[in-house]
Amino acid sequence: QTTLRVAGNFPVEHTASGAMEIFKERVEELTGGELVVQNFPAMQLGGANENVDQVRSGAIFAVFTSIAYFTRTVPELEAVSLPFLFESRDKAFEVMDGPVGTLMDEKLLEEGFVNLGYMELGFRHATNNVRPITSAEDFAGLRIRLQPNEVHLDTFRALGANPQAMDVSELYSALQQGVLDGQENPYNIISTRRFNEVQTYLSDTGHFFDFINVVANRDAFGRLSPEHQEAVRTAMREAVEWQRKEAAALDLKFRDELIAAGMEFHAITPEARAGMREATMGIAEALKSRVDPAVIDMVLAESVE
Amino acid sequence: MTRLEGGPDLSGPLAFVDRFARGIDVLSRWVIVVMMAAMAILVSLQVFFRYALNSSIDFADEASRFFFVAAIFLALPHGIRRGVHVGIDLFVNMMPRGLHTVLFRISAAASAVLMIVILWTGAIATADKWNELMPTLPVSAGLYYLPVLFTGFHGFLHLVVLAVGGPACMTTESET
Amino acid sequence: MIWLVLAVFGFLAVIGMPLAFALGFAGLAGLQSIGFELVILPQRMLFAVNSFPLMAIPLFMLAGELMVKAGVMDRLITFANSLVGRVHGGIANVAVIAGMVLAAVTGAAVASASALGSTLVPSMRKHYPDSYSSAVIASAANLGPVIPPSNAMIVYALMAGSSVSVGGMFMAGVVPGIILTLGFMGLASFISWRRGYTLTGDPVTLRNVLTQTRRALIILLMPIIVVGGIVGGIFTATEGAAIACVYGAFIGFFVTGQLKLADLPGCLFRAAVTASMVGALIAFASVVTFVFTIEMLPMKLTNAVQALTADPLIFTLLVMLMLIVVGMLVESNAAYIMLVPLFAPLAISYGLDPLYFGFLFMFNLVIGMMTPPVGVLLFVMSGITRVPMGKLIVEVWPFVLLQFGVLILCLLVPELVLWLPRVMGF
Ligand code: NA
Ligand code: NA
Repeated sequence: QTTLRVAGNFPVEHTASGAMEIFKERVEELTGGELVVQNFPAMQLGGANENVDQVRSGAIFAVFTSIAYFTRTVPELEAVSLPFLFESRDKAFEVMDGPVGTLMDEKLLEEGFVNLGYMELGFRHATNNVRPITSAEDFAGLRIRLQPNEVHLDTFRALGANPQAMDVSELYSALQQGVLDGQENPYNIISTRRFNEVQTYLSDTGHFFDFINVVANRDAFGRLSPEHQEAVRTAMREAVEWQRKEAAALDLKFRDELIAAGMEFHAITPEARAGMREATMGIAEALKSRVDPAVIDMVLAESVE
Repeated sequence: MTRLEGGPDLSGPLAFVDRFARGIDVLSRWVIVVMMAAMAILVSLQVFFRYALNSSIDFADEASRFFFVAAIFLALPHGIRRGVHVGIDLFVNMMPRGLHTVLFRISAAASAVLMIVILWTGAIATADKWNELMPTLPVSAGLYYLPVLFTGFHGFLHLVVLAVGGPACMTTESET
Repeated sequence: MIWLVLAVFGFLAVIGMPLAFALGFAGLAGLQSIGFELVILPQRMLFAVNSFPLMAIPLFMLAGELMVKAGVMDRLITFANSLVGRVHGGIANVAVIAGMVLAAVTGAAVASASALGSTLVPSMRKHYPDSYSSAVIASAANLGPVIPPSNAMIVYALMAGSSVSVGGMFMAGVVPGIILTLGFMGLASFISWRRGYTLTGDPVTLRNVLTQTRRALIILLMPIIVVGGIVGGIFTATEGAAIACVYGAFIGFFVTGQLKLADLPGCLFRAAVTASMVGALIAFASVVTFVFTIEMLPMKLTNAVQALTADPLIFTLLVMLMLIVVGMLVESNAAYIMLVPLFAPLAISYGLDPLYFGFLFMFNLVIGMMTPPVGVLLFVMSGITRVPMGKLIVEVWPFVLLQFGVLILCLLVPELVLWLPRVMGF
């Protein structure tokens, strides 16, 4: 009997944590209990950065978290984090399930990680306390908290905002106290972290699409028998499939909950979105200094096809 | 031979370890001073940038946390012989002096074991992470582990002196 | 496994091993016994400390160091003396008032105790026995973590997660802090009068009060800037702590002129070494927490407690009783780090206000810093005045009892804790 310990930073109620429960059931079923999965969601074993280190060192089997935590090991992943890249979630997954995904998996493998699948973290949307965002110009001067990621920071700078890096644990009180004007996250996170309590305006900017990936330690995965490896892959495919459906269905529900809770919602028109895309065109070119230009061109080509 | 303030005469290999540990004390003290100053300045500057210049330093959070981690872990061994790290001495104080000394040595030896494990596993963790870059700076994120690893090394030296030399090797000098 | 970890920790702690290292060693034994790679040890240590909010602790320590070197103690003491010098236990009251103002500009009791002790004991020695002076100063210093800013509150808020904000905790401490100050002054005066200690100090005159207030104004302004800035949302607690350092340096270089460039390395180094004591506890305790998490201790404990009682008041009382014992035996930072992640969510499940529960929890452990056998403030005072622990304990107990009285008052009248945070919008 082998125990596979899996850690994640999403709360227990998040669809990704739910998917890992399905993964656990299916793995144990498929291997007749020879493999046992122990899930530790909700940062029980530490934050995402630490979980990634734990997987890299082989202290735990796998981690499920935003791909953002791998972009400083595998910079190619930044290419799929470019602003206004995907028109829809279907397009996003089509790209990740195709040659782009295969390429990313190879890069991860070189760094000692086996990628088991991509789930939906979702489109990220901006909220703030100053004014409704309906066009690129409305970002001007807003102090918005972003993840510490160069593409993200450059994007908001290009939009005229004043991006601030801050730990998410401090974000709620920073917004409450007015240290910052706004933040950006998927609806799900905005709702579960109760940012609606301290934010007035919400727009469906959808400026980035975020993926969650489930990543195992290469050596630990390699030590499993071929049958067990297959069982892990199969179980994960099923879990990922479930999660993508569930997340898509819940996304609008979370948005409507935020509106019902009193947030003032503004939909971004196609013209306004085009304006934002225009303003951030330079980001992909700039990224070519850090990431193989061929990879970026490939992602750009695949995403519009 | 090294004469400790109010302590015993150390000789042989122990005196060497002690001199070595104190040499590192001097170096590490200056690194800590620089790290602390850099941390305080960077955090203040971030506020200044936000309000006076309406902009921000992207790497301020990252870099100041690095200075903080470095200062804390480099300072940890400095507290060992100064008795900064508090313990329960009520029961040992009731014991006869001989037993007290034995327990002191056992505790220092166990702490030294802990330190050597930190040094060893810290080196592994550093090597594992070396290919990852910090989120907003083009330097290895493995650097974060170096102060932890160094705590293991520096702390081990001081604890060996305590385990072999006994309670008399606790220093009475002031904190600077 | 949980018992193995507790046994190893208990044994090492009893034989006098520093608590941080005892936790680390116990964590190591735990990792080994549940078959985890030991590389978890440096990973936990790093990530437990690597947090921006935690950075407020060395920065507030540094601010304290800078202000002492800047010579603020002298101004504080003359200011307090102009107000309350001429009463029974005059200079004891001066210590309490100085402690209160110092508490409003620094975050840690231990630092306050050494600052107050080294400056006040020589003059107190002329009128009182050292044991009494030590008890008064320890109490005055214990206002440090109750009145904002407070490292203890920062650690609590951090360990409790998003349910409690640092600003909210800061505001919760203000009213109880004032009650405690008045209580200490009353008690100190009463004891001095009963024992017939001589009347000290100059008569109180408006003129003198105004002069000394003007001299102390630069210090009295500081809490308005630093705590006000944190609570008012101008900056985060960590940034506020950095601003406090800048302010302290400004006072030292340009107002009193007593701070010299050559003092800076010493201040920076001492702040780091003191903060590393808290850092070591946080780092090593997080390894034990990890083992407990793997062993599902939080869930088991929650079930056990919920099976015991469904009444929030009884739950609170049980936690308070437990914390009195914990406060006696465990260094307070270690206690926050081990217990807050377990009990803060439990309190919420009982429907208790997170801020109310958080303040009571913290206050209880703050009192624990003055209870034997592990009472950090007793160690510090005994170190400064050379009064043996036994004699110190005899003098300290009325002050400890008074603090528990205020704790019970806060427990019974939640508005004392919650009124100000609510008014400020927390
Ligand atoms: Na304070
Ligand atoms: Na105590």
